Amino acid sequence: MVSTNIEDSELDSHGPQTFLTKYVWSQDHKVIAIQYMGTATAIGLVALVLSWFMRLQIGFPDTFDFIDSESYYQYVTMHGMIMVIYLLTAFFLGGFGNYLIPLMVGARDMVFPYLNMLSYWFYLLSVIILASSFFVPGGATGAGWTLYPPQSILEGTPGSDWGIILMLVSLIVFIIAFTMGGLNYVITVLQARTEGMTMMRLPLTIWGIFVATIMGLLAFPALFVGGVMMMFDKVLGTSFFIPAIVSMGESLEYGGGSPLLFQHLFWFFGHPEVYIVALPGFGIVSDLISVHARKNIFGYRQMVWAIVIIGALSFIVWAHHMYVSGMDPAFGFFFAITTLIIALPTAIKVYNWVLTLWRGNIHFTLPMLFAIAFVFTFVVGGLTGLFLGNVVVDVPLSDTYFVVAHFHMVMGVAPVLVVFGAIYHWYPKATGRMMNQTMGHIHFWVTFIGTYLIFFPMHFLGFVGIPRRYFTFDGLDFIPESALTLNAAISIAAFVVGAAQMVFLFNLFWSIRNGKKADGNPWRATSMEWQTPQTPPVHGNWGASLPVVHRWAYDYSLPGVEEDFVPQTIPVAEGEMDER
Amino acid sequence: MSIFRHISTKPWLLDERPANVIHPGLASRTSTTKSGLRLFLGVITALFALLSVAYIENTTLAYWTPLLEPQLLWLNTAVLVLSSLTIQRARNLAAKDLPVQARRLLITSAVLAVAFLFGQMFAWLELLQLGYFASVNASYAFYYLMTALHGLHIFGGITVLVFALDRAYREDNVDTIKRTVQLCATYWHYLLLIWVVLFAMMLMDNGSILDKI
Repeated sequence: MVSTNIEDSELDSHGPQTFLTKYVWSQDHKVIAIQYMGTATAIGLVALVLSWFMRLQIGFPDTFDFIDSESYYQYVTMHGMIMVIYLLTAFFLGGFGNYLIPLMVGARDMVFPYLNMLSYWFYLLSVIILASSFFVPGGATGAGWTLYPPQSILEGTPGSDWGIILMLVSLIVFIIAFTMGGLNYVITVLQARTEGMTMMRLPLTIWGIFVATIMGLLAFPALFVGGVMMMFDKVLGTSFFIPAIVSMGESLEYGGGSPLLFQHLFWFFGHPEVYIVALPGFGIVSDLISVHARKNIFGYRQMVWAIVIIGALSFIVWAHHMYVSGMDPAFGFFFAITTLIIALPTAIKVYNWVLTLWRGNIHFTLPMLFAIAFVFTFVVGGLTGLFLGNVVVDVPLSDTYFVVAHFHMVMGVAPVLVVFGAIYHWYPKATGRMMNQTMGHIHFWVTFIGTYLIFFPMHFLGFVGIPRRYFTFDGLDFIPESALTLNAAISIAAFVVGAAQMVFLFNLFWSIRNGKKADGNPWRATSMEWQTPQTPPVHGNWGASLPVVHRWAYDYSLPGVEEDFVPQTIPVAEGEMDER
Repeated sequence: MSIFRHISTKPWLLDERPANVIHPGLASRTSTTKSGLRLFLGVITALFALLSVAYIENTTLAYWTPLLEPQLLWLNTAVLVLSSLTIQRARNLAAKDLPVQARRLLITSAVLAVAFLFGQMFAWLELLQLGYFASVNASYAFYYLMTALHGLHIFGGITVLVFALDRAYREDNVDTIKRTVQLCATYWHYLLLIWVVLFAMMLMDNGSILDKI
């Protein structure tokens, strides 16, 4: 019998006991979360290696025979798509969403466990389809992660035969997987909260994941529609996105379609996608900072409202990715304004993180280091976003390394830092052991400083006018020699940062057996996931009866209380009211 | 509205009311599946709304030629309406604690929905035989795309209904049937609504739809 979060159970653990049902065809949200994270990490490693290949070519052009212009574009495309969708989206929502939602809201599991299991297997299928595209004739698609037609499906672009078809199929399967998971996350947050857990008592992690999931459910259909229509264009010869076109000297059968339509559909998904990755990161960072500074989060309500407002605004800014596609100046004006307005709620969040740290009892633990590193990186990436949000600044910078620097800082490095911080933070809950500190510090400092060495100089490359996406800069006389030297240095930094991730991976596995033993609540945190009767939590999470929540998730360093934290499950003590 | 009341509370202040008064924390299977379905309908709405926007944009392009609708679509629409009516009747019967009759009508609805799908395929065949492939014009491309996506959703609905009916037979529980019928009826009506909107758009495609409204 599948347990639901609703009924209390007399048994301590009533989960399936065979290896296959416990760890493979599991409907337990914790197992599914780890499956999601494992798969995302595996395909993420592929994307990491691809970025190395790209840096080999850019840093040391024409040195490596296995990289030609075709394979270079395939690396670029697959790196981008894997990192954004199959790693970050899957990790934050499929991974952390699955692991944390039921634990943090005090539920036994997701409300639709079977659908949740299906969600993972569809995700795995989409990853396998994506990876298989490396091995088909013509190889993976090299159309760029935005897959702009007409080039993505016409001869001349690498992988325009099978690669693009597999990419589209994989995306469609991913979206189906995400929808199944997303329904679970939203309804679990809305309806499966335990007694006393109001929406405003939820930790900000849950708010971030919750709003990001709703955004995903509304934004992914745009990619779905675009993907299916492009598939029609490729397979059935329709012309949704293909205008009358002469290719390789021949007039093609296509005609009458609108390439701009795809761009609108893509970015109607693509921009919210940025925040689908960022919002869970915002939420998690808020909790990491609060726990490790032993202080309640500053401006909880503002933080919630900011998350909701950012989520809503992100649906009306998509065309700022299309300034260079040509548009009515009035539209450009509108989208520039909405884009810049997003800076307001985002700035509120940054101020509140800083104000939470202000006069806090800051512990420089690994999660805290990563959280602070996130704030730094996110501010740098966010500020360059303000440059690019203006049409007149964007147009000259749009196709340069400035944009590469911007989006890697703001939605590449920043969210990945949160992922790391969150793993160091919740690892003891999932395994019962702490991760090794020394390896963790090596990982942190190399990653943090290294990513700045990689991406910060790219801003300058962009100002010099180095075009992005180019396989070679041969014959571009305006590029100074120093820029090429800088590119070589960036590449070396990239190899070192990549190598540091191997330290992290080793630590991840090594610490399962050899890490310092942790008790159920090593960070002395208040939120529900640290109050489970067992660590790691068993199937059903809460033992015989569900916990009851008496307070919000941020009661740290209360006046007149001996301990510097009061878990959400502790009832309000007599006289506590007067103390405050 | 309650949402504004929710998000304007001050959770950092102590609330000495008993926890179950603050939030009861009781969710029934019925309410979770019902909300799950509603949310899913929201996702479907986003999907078809975006498709409709793309469609309307295309009708304004120079290459657009109006679709030659197969007359069969009218019959198919009637079948789908009938399917919705029978499922509504099944819902009413289930509400009156008449599970056996409700079950029978549910099967009728499923059969009618299958008939609708076959009807749609015949309409495709009709156009294909006349040489109107998807590649002929964007209007045909959209016709095949929209009917296919709508058909897939109908197919999904039928599949769920068959599984639910099977379980209802095995468990023979009046409440299970009531819940199943309710959920299926909601889904059926919604897909009928989507079909009516799509069909209406296809009928109005001579030149810009926007001009006609």
